[in-house]
Amino acid sequence: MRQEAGLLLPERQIGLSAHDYQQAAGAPQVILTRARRDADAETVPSRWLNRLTNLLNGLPDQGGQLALAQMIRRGDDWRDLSARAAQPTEAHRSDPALVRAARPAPRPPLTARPDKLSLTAIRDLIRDPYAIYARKVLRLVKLDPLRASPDARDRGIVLHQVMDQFIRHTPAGETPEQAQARLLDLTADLLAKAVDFPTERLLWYARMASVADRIIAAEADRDGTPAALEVSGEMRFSNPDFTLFGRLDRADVLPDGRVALIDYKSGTPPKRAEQEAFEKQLLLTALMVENGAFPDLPATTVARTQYVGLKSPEAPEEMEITPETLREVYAKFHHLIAEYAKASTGYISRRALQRDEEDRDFDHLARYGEWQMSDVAQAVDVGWPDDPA
Amino acid sequence: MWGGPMIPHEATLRQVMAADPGTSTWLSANAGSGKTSVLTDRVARLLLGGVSPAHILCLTYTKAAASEMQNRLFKRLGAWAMLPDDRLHQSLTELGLTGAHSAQTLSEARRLFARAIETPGGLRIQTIHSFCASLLRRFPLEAGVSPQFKEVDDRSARLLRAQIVQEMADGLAVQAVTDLGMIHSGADFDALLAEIARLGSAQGLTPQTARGLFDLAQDATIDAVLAEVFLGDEAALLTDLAQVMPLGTATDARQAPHLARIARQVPNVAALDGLEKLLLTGAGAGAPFSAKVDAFPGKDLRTRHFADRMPQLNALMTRVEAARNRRVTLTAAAKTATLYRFASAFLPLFSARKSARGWLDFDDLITFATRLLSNPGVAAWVLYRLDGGIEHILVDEAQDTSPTQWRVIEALAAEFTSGASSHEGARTLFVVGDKKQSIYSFQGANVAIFDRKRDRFQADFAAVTKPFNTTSLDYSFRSSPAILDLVDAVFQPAEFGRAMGDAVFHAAFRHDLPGQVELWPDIAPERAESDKEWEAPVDLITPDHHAAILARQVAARIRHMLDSGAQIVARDGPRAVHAGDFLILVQRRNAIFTELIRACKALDLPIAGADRLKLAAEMAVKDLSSVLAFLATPEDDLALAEALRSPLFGLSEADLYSLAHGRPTYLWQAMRGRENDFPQAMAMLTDLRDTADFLRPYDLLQRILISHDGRKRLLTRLGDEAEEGIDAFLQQAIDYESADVPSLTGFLIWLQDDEMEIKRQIDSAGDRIRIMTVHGAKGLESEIVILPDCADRKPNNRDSVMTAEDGPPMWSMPAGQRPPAMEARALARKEQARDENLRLLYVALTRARSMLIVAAAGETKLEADRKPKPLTDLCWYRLVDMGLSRLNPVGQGPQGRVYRFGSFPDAIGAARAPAPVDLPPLPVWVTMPHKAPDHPLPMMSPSSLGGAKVLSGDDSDDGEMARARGTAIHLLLEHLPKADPVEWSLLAAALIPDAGIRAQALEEVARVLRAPDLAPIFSPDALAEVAITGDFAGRRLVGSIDRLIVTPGLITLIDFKSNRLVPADPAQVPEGLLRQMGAYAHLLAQIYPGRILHPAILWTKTARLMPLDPDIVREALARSTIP
Repeated sequence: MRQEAGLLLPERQIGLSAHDYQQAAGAPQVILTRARRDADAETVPSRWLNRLTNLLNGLPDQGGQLALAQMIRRGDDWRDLSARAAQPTEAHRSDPALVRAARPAPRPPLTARPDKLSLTAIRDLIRDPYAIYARKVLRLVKLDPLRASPDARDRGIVLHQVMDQFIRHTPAGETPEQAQARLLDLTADLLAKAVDFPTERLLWYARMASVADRIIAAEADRDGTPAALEVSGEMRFSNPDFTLFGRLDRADVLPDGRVALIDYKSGTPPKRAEQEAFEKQLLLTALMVENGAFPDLPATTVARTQYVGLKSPEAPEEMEITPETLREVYAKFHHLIAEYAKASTGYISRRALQRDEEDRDFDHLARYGEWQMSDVAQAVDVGWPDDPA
Repeated sequence: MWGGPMIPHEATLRQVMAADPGTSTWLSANAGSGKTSVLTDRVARLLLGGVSPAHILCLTYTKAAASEMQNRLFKRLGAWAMLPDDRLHQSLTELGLTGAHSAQTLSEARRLFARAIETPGGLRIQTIHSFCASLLRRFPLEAGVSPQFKEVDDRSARLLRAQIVQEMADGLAVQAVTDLGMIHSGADFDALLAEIARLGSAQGLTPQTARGLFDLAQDATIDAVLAEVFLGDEAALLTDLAQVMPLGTATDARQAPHLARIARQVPNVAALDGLEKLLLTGAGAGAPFSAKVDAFPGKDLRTRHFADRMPQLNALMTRVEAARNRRVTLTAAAKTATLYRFASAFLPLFSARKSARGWLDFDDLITFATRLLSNPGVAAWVLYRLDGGIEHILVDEAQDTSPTQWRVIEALAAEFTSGASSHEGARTLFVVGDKKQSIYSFQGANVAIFDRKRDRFQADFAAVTKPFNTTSLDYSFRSSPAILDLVDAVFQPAEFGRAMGDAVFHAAFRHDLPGQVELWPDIAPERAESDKEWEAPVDLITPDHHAAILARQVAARIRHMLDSGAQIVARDGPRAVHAGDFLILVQRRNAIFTELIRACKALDLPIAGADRLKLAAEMAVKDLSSVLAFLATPEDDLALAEALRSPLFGLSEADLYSLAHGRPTYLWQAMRGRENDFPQAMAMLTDLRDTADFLRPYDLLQRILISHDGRKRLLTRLGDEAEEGIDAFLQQAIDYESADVPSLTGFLIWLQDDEMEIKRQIDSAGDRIRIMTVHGAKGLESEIVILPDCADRKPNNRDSVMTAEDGPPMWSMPAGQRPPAMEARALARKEQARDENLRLLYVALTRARSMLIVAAAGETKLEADRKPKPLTDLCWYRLVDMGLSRLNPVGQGPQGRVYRFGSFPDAIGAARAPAPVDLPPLPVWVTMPHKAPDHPLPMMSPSSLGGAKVLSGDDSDDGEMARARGTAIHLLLEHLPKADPVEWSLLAAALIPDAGIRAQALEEVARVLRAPDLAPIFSPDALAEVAITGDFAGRRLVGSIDRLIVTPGLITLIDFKSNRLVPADPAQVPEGLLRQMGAYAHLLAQIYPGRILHPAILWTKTARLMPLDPDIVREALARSTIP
């Protein structure tokens, strides 16, 4: 059919290739190679190779098997050469820069250490001190990925804005239906401003819409009145000198004059055990409130703290605050910063993570992977005068 | 102990019978019973019987199985081709071809290798997907697919899904996306989209279908339900109750605020929801979801503070209970309807986009092929065109063939039993499978179909009175009786009948093969102590996870067996074990999987690494990526810092501090200021920065790895296992470059877009320990199998869409929220999952030849909810434990309970480490950079040897028109001589589009062709447009001679010239033309030495042939100027 249409026959191409092949095979030295396997499976050798090896193999009396064995051995010489050429040499093995890295705990000079940290950074100081070292001492930050896509952090920021404005501008005598409509309008507005991606904008809106009635119901349950929203403050410590700063989401004044601190979480709020182990943000905020750290909020007693998860707003993680709680928080926090004001304390990588599998921004810099979570950290002095660098 | 005296070779006889190609056969084959060899034998016998290789179709489950079978077949046929008569005779007899073999049969057998290997398109031993793909490639129009269709990869499909939803969200179907968003609570929206995409078609997914699915009455609405429950006084009742609740028990008091809130919400859905939780029993109760009449609230409240209102409260509870079922059903139906609305908008777009791009996914291949083969109009034609039809079909792993795949096979086999067979000779079907090994339900396999299909084919073949043989292979050629005894004992309980199909029975072919089964004590889970010492900055060493403890035990045992020279009886006789004999199988790639790899490496055991590689998690890949990220964005300080700390640059923590701390600007600037402190790093960075803009990602990576010694540096510090990551990364660069315009940033985005997981096939035993999932071990075997992952497992089904074979999909509701129709589906699924779990255990156990070790780290509970678990719910560890208890005698070994058969040969003691061989040093050139080879000089054309080509005053060499005319004349002179003159103008019109040029050229050419004295030149004997090449003065010439007339004594070569000014005599011919003719003569003289050469020019303008003097053209050639 092809011939009738005046097209070249596929056989012609095959013939030409065979011709080329035959010519090439006449060269003084010929190497026949094939890939043993491709991405999926072992391969089937070409027809030519199959026939050639089969023929040689089947002629033991004419020296065919011997010839084949010799061919294979000559090929192996090349493979061996290439494998050996790729192997590290003795020089590599004795290079001190090429020794496996240990779990790091760098100890910079005291003057290089941060004397000011935010409420949110304390969590890292407890769980992954190396991250604080990388951010505050080395001043390194993780850049946004090249292709921007809205992530959980962006969502958290918008949802905080929504809650802030929703509470801030509550009109008197608003019915639950009106409140719900206002909440959703606000959500739509702020998402339109902050999120350029239609899918995420819609999905985040949908998530808010699916819990809006429960947020309103939870609000109706509250017995306090909002006294401070999104305010910044700082608290100074001495011996060592240290400043703790940060923002509180919301503080409600209760009927008895004490306050309740509220923090919104777009994900799951931290459980009590997590708060005891590392999630100190609200406890430290409470400490700051009682010490009058926030300009808009006179020093008052804190009755309780609440993490409100927007997934299940009716069941916040609540903790009653007693003077003993705060005394302990103060003592331990002071102890913590005092430890880091000692030259002998290093910034350990991944000190106490919640899960071993957790990915952290500075894991790669800390060479996690060359060492394991069961390895002991190795303190290294960096930047001291007698340091060669 | 099973089995008594064994009939010799019964196993082999069964194999031979099953391989008889004359009878269609349905074969159930136990694990290790040699089904691959039956398949190969059967194909060999078909070929031997004279069946054309093109008429055999053999469908395997994986590509690996397909190439393994091909290689086995070629090996066998290849051996036949070379065997002497007596041995070939013996070989055929073993195959079952008894009796004497004629010389003709023997020579036929020897020719099979060539016949099989030279089959156009190769033997059709392939997966069903590749078969369907090749079918669609051949019949795209008939199948309604693009002729250039492409099998779409996951990445492209995911991006397409995201893009479509983006467009829907941006205006096409805003409500559908929002509604779906409201019911979808998980974080991974794309996973949901992928599930929806798998539904394929939105046909029939209407809100009416959704209601029908749950048997909802037309008038059932949530408002009606609310109106039934809330009669009007509930708010008051609940408010009052909330006020007295604090007087009751502590539990009551806690619920007060909750009740108050519900009271405020009455009469909406949220209130009903709250009341269900409060007033009805829970899912786990004896009578789930029933009203707590006279049980809520606490007794004090019921009998004292709220006694007078209790009748009212109890009535409300009863109403809530009565409404619950409808409420649940309505919710499920509403969510399902939401799913349908979204699917109806999404799926048409998705398939339209796919077909616009010519994309087919895995399911599409099957779907379109089925459609093609079941279309009565074209199916017969298609089957006929498939080389005259497929006469013999062989199906491997039939138990894992999905219903849709069966439809393809049935369509192909339909004619076998149609009765109206136009074919001579029997056409046969051969199906081999093992229901006990059906483990791929997640890929659509359905074990129940296996029997159904068998009965159906049996009936069909019986209807046309063709033989159909149903048989089984029970003998295991693989395992020791110790292993087989355990397998039979584990699956002995009648409860496992449904899962395993029949009673499990294995006979050992190797009835004297020593073997051993060990069950190690299980390791209870370690409860991690939560850390409260937050103020102390000391590192917390993760306590030993139970998985880590077990992993170390396993590694230690392997180490010990290797070091002590423990022996087994392998296929080739007794020998000491080596690392390649160990196969570790897990259910999932979980903690124990990574711990095992780690533990083995810690003991220096050679291990083949994970069968899946998370590319981005590989240290070497991270290091290389950081270098690339820095090169793309020099301001990326963190990327530079990471690169510097990597083995590629090798800076220390202190070095980095000295560069980074207190620097005024970017890290790269700081680095430049310290060039003298880090000369090597600076030189490398500078070189890479200089070349990054010009090299493609792959080349850039290779520059780092080779020129800058990166590969060896990475391997030295990270270990040999880094190699696989590096190579996979390079492969990614190649894949990226073939899919996109290559750029560095583009590559980085490509990497970031996908969590790349590289699947690595670890198949035949090598010299390393293998570790993989049981699914991955399908078809493999190993001397020693270790199952460390046998503890309790939580079933893990997070699908949002609940599909069913025989009905539309549903939106999956959590347990306790399912209407009856959905609960039935969920239950059926759970049963199927349990059954498959048992079969997975069967597959795992039967991989072992000589030795099996079963262990567990974690819970291995015998009870659930304080009730004994049903047998089918127990973890593997307990099942094996019970199986062992049914065996006798089970002894106590150093590491747990042991069941032995025979005994292994004594350990031969520590193998002496082979003396280190002094390898000769590598030749110097291996490591030296290579000098770039000289580029070969470009080839020259005979018309480019210098000299004028036209007479002065002639413009025929200039301008496009003139050249077009020249080309046209040449074209016509090439083609017209072969044609009838009446067709010339038609032919000319086809050859030369430009009418003006055509007319002029045709006229001129016609004159030439009609000139009687020129006729010999255009006779059919003359060669036209002869390509010629050869050397001249150290250069390669390539040209084409217009006409060449070869006679025994004389060679005439003629070149057409369309010059406008024609020279009067040879002396005036321009120099350039003489040189050209000289070149042709020179080349021809090399081909035809000793013949007389007559060069001549045919001037088309004047239709005159001008012979040239061979000496003159030779002299002209000698004057050539060669650049």
